[in-house]
Amino acid sequence: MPASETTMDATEALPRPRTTPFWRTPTFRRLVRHRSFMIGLVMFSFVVALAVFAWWIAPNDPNRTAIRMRFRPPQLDRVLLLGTDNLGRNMLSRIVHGAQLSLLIGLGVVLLNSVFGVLLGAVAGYFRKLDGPMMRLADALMAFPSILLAIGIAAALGPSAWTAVIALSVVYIPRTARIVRASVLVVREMEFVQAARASGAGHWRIISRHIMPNCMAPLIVQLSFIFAYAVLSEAVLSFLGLGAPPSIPSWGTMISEGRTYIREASWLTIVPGCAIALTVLGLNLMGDGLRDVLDPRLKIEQG
Amino acid sequence: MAAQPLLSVRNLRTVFGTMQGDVTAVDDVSFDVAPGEVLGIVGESGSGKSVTALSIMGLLPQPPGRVAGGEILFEGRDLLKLPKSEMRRMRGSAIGMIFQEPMTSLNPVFTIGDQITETIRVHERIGAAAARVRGIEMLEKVGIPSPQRRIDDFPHQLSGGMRQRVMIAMALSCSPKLLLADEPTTALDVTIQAQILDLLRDLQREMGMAIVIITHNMGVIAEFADRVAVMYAGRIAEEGPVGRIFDAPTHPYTAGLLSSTPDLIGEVPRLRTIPGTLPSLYELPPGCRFAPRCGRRVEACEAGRPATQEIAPGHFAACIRAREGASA
Repeated sequence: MPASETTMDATEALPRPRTTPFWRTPTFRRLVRHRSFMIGLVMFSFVVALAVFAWWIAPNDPNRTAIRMRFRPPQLDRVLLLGTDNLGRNMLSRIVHGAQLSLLIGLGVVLLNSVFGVLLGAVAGYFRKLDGPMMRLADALMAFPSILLAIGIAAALGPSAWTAVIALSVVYIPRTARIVRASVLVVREMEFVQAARASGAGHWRIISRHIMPNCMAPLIVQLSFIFAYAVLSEAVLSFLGLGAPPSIPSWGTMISEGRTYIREASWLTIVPGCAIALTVLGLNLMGDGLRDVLDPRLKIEQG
Repeated sequence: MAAQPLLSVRNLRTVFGTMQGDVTAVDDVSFDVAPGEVLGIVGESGSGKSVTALSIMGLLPQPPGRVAGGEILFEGRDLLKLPKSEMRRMRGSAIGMIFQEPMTSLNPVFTIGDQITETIRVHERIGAAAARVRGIEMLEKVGIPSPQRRIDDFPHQLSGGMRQRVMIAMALSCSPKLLLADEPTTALDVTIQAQILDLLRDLQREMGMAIVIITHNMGVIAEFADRVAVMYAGRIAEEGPVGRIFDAPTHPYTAGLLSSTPDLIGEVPRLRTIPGTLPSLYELPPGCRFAPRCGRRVEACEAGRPATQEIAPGHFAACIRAREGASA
């Protein structure tokens, strides 16, 4: 007779002789054939490479000032490729270290979103009694213009890199939760969920095994856009002095400092501006591609 | 009938809260299922068949649905009074259920092996490899060819009939004593329907379980069930052994249902129908709910709810003229 004890442990250890690796799936092939996704991927990978190999690319300490070397314009030179700024700090070093900060903050926001946004969205969508209160709270947060809310939270907590992550997460988690909730509302009514319930599965198992895996497509798409917004918003917060402290190079801070010299030394603003644009554009192109491939219903068919 | 029924539904009343107030979808329904017996529940769409099954399983969408009264005794224990966690353990192990729509009843992102072994491992302390072996056995039992390979298929790689077999394998993987089959063949081709019914009957004999089969197809009942309960507008109109119900229906609704089924023997005239439609559950007629459509209505029908009478041993009908015999 069945043991009455419920075993909630994972069934992942099942021998699975015929699983297809991701790079052989049709989804992967369609992504590879999607031109703008691949362009975005190249752009984003370039930024990621900058951040990962920063220690190797950067000619020297991004914070080392050299007054005699101020305002050197970009030139074909291993060290002075992107010139120097108003304090003689090496722009190339600052850009690659800024890439680290931007990507880490973006990643942090995406991670917090994929944990809390998913959790809250799943709970709101699944437990209907919690849905009303939770979504009204989300509405309240979403009623603020997003950047204003982020500025408010960052100002209240005091400027730091963590503050930026938290502020931006608070802004974007309601949006993620909304998207997840919408998918959960659809999937929870499907018959296989009823069938799982009829075979004795508990709420947590139903959510994690039967509902969430069927809600991944819109979530992945949303997270790729949130990454882009987070990078952009981090730059805005830094620009306003609410992001990372000046000792950590940030693209937003660089633009803010370079603003004074925009006539004489325009590369101080143009270079970090291009870095932000490259990252955000790359992520957006990837997001569009993912949406086309994973969630074709959202696609506007063009003749 | 055996002394102690396996399942005994007593005066079940299930209501749905709506904007216009509570609607009673199942009103004072009682029936018994003996161990190893097949009970068919027939009725039109909206007559409360599925709601009855969901009430037994404790799977009513809540809100708006809730059981407002009655008892559902399974092996003498009232399922309605069980704590939620205990009820969850009953589902899948003591009571299994299969659904109408095999195409959507399996989770598209996992292999069928994952889903069968999941059901087993929810209820039994058993290792992954052992569960897999059981899964293959179950697939073999439900007639899926080369189950060792098929167990790693995804649902979209299987046809509708195959998926329904997988659903049956899942529902039976923990050897339930009672299987609720909610229109298990409605979405399938006629030939596949027959195969699935044969399979269910073989498994029922082999495993000795009781089945409650819900359908609107009289043919399925005739072929499959031992006893039948005919539901109309949330109440049981007539209940009895299949042979008696088909040969000598006493409730005019049963008679009407039977006469609107084509007969394969002899000349087929224009098929008879029952005039009118099921009454809205918001505006039920005061007396017998079938009275407005009934060809044998008398004044007393509208006065009050007709009492359920035992026409013959085990044969009940809720019609005041039941004893006159029906030939509507």
